[in-house]
Amino acid sequence: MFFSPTYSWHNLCVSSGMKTAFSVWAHRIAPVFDTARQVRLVESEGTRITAENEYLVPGNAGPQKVKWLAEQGVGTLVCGAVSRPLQEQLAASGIRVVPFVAGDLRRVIQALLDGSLKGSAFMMPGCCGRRRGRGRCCAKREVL
Amino acid sequence: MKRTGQNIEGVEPTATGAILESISDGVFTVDREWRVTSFNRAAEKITGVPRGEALGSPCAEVFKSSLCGAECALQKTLKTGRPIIGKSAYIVNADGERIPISISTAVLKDAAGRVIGGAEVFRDLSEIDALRRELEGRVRVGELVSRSPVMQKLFEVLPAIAASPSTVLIQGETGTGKELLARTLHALSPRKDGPFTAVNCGALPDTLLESELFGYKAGAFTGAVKDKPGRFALAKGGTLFLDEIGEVSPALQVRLLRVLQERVYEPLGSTHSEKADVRVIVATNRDLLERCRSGDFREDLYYRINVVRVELPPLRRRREDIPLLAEQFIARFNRLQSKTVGGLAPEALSLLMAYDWPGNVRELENVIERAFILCGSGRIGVAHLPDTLVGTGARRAAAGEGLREAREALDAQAIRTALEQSGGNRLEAAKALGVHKTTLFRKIRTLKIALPKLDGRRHAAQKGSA
Repeated sequence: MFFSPTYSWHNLCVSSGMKTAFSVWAHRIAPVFDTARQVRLVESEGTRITAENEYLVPGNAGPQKVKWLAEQGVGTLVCGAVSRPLQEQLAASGIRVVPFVAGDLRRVIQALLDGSLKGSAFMMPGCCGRRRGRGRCCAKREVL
Repeated sequence: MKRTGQNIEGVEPTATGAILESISDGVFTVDREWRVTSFNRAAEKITGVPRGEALGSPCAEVFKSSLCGAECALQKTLKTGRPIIGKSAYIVNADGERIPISISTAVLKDAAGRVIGGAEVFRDLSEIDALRRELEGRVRVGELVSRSPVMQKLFEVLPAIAASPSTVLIQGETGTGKELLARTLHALSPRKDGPFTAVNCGALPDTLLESELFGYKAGAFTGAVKDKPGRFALAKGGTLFLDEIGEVSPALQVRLLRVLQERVYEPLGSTHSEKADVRVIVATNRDLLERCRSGDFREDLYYRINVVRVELPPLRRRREDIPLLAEQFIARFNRLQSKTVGGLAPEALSLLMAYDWPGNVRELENVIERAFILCGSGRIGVAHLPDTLVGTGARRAAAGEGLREAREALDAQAIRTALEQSGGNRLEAAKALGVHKTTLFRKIRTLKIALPKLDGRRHAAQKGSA
């Protein structure tokens, strides 16, 4: 079971004192987390951002990224496409993953804070929600 | 043919569309804003993204390839004007699977020659990869790769060894892949879903190693404020790999013997015994029998761990694997570093084949990694190899001088190897080299090759009389 009763696409919001990482490239969510290096760490209380910084993750290998995120105390990662082995490593380190998210970084951060990061607006093409054809439901892969 | 927009000059637009729809390669085009303007049927099939969702979306979010972002091939093409052909990458599909692909890019221009965007063609390599893996299956077991007859024999018995619960002793020089073999045995075993825990017995002092292996209870010693499970406990249901077992002290050898015999152990400070539900694999680069004779290793423990012994040959005894291993490392570093190194130049490969590899496969991997620093594309040549490998003679030869010195260096290397493989027997070595024994003796004299202490004939005679 990948969904948490308190944290899913249908009930997506951050609790107080939360540290969330956003995988970034060119002011948008990076298309593939496996190869992304830039991460924006956002600390928030309720819907208010208390601290925000951007980092270059040391090393390109999956385990290095997972270790670095865990060391920063990241509770949630919002990213684009992510391969299953890497997503499982993140989950094993206690990091919640919100995968296959696309869009402008500021809008995604705001949407996460106000609990509206659900539905089709922020999902990558080919995932459910924007389904007009044969798109598959990427968000179901959310691992906890 | 010059491409204009989505059409090809001289071909009807409808025909162009029909051609694009019928091919098995994925094709999409983008405008100057990186928004997808066309997306053919194969692209839909490979990416799993319906055309309706792809059109108008940023290409990176549709394509989701390992190059999207800083390494974007299309961006490079639009910047330089040069197409990229057959670059390796992978895309991550909606199921989180990595699909291997090759990418080619081109600039799109309108009738007036103005750049209006770019086109990307990609091919799904999953089937080719699967076929390659099937072919490689004959030379590959798990992560181990070899064409050598010695290793092939090992590959044949490996599944049976993995299936049994017996303790395995892996012997081999440093860098031959002892831990890799242990991991392969674990992956093939019924315990594969359990943990694989590795401990380097040579890396820790004796007292620390004891608590590391067996764990301790709170209050067992100063500073032990709470219980700590040992590696035997952590490896429960899986495999415990004890590397450099030859370095373990006699006191700890006794404790290990008890665990292996009784399958129980006591954590430090505990009054109760714990059951050891682990399969133990040990490894060493020492001659344990020799250490038993010298009194450094307990004979009873030696016979307890020597239930199944696997010997990993050094790389110099399986030189036929060097091209295969080098190819594998090159493919891996290409993937990891997003480079396009095409392989080894023949002269470079000759040098790799002639070298003795005291550090074995690990050293070969390091040599290839070093070459990647100096060589970003094309083939790895002699200039990209370290001095230790190239040697004075060969380097001179590579520079176009001293061909004789280079040949002599290679001759000396071949003779040393043949003598080593024949156990010092000169006649056998001469036969293996395809020369007469007098030629071999002459070469040994002129090249000033130090002969091995062991004389193959005397050795054979001793064995015969025994």
